[in-house]
Amino acid sequence: MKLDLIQPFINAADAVLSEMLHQPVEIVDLAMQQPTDPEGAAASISLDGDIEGNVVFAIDPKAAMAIAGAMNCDVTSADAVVDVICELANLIVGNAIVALNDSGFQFTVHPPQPHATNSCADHDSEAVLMRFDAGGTAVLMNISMRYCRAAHA
Amino acid sequence: MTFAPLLRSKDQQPFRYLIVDDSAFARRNLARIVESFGGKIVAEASDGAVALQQYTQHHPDIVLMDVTMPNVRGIEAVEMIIKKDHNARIVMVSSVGSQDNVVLALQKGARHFVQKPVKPEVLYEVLRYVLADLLAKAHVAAGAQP
Repeated sequence: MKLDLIQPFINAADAVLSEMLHQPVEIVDLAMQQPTDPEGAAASISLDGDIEGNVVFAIDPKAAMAIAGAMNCDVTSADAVVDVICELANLIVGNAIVALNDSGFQFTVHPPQPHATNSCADHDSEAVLMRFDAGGTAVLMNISMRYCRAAHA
Repeated sequence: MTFAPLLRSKDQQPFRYLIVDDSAFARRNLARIVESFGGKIVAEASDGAVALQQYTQHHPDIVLMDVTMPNVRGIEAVEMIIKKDHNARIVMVSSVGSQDNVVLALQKGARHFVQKPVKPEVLYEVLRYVLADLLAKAHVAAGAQP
């Protein structure tokens, strides 16, 4: 997977998480590996078009509640935590996609879904796993994507 | 930051909003921001089809519409609402603010596009612009107060 596919997601995660968590964000780990399922609550967003693949986004449920609380939104149920995580994933992926669109790529973004455990197991593609730290809050993003421009030319 | 309430010139009442987003969290967050502008949420919808039903039922002054949603997406919903009411005021609120989406939404009849995460001061200025001809005059000159 090429860096020009990954960099917009890094930039978007940095910008969105810094703003939502009111903390500077740091990448503490970045590795290429087989896609893996994150622990705990997670959301995934799939793309198809010139670029296809999916992004899995996981954040500690307590951190999701803290983000919601900072926006004066009470989040108590597990479903509501997943909803917050889905929306954060949506914000990050959406912002990354603006940069990719500006580079000339055309694709469709599907709505975020709660990530089902073991759904990464069948993927034979390589993924980039990123861990961010925002003032002690761990955020994990797993990006698995490839170019499909020829198929859509 | 505090905001001068945006009120309707015809009756000095709050503007009535329909918020459309598949995320309940995003809807709550938008509702909180809109209420800080003095707005009243008359209905919410989680996809474009429900948005059309709610629009027909409540005739809100303004619709805040997400783009990426299940079933009927935001831009299709704009087209459907504008077919029913050519004067509908719809502002797209989405993280996917790519040029294609913005142009398409405007072509279908949306009045403006706000990128998520929503900055309240940006949304406030967009609403003042989109609602300018309906705003009570005292509130046209007033803006956000630091």
